[in-house]
Amino acid sequence: MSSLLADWGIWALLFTGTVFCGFGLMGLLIFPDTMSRMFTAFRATAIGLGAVILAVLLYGFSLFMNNGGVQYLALILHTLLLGGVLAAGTWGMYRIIRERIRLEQQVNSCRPPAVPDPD
Amino acid sequence: MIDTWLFTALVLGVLALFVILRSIPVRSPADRLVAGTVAVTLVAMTALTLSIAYGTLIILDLVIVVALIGFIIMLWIAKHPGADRS
Repeated sequence: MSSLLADWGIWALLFTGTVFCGFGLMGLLIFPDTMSRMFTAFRATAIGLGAVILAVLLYGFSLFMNNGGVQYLALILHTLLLGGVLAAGTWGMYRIIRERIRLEQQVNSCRPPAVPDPD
Repeated sequence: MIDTWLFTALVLGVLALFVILRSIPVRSPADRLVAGTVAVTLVAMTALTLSIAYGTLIILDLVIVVALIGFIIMLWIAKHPGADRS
């Protein structure tokens, strides 16, 4: 078992991460346009991901300092790798989707306004 | 006593399920990509906490590969507009 202080820290970080992931879901549900949905969902989920990864790192580090063992180092390294993959993927998606939305808005603004049928 | 990691995995899994269900009725491809990105992140976090709850690194290794493949597919779809239209 990890120490009491580390346990409290892990609990607080897991709680924070879960709450922010809930904010991300709420952002997806309540905002009216794609840009604000993406902005809220990506930011909130990224904060939640950071908190959960910090909790795992704290857990692995405290157990490694108390007991030693290669498996905790492996856990830390794999978690960092997963965090890197998720951060890079989310950043790439954010840039591409933002560009795509801008292009769609430009195309829509170039279109002539719809003329009502006189009949 | 409730295992903190298992409980967190359960909550994150439910959130991931809601995000996946939310992405089904969406018509805009950009919106679907946003929901897909959030879903991949939440599923990966669920697997991360599950791997600690069960004490095995295999789940973590699997989810790294799955997240990588998921992001590659979604980036390809996002780069090629029209590829997501059936």
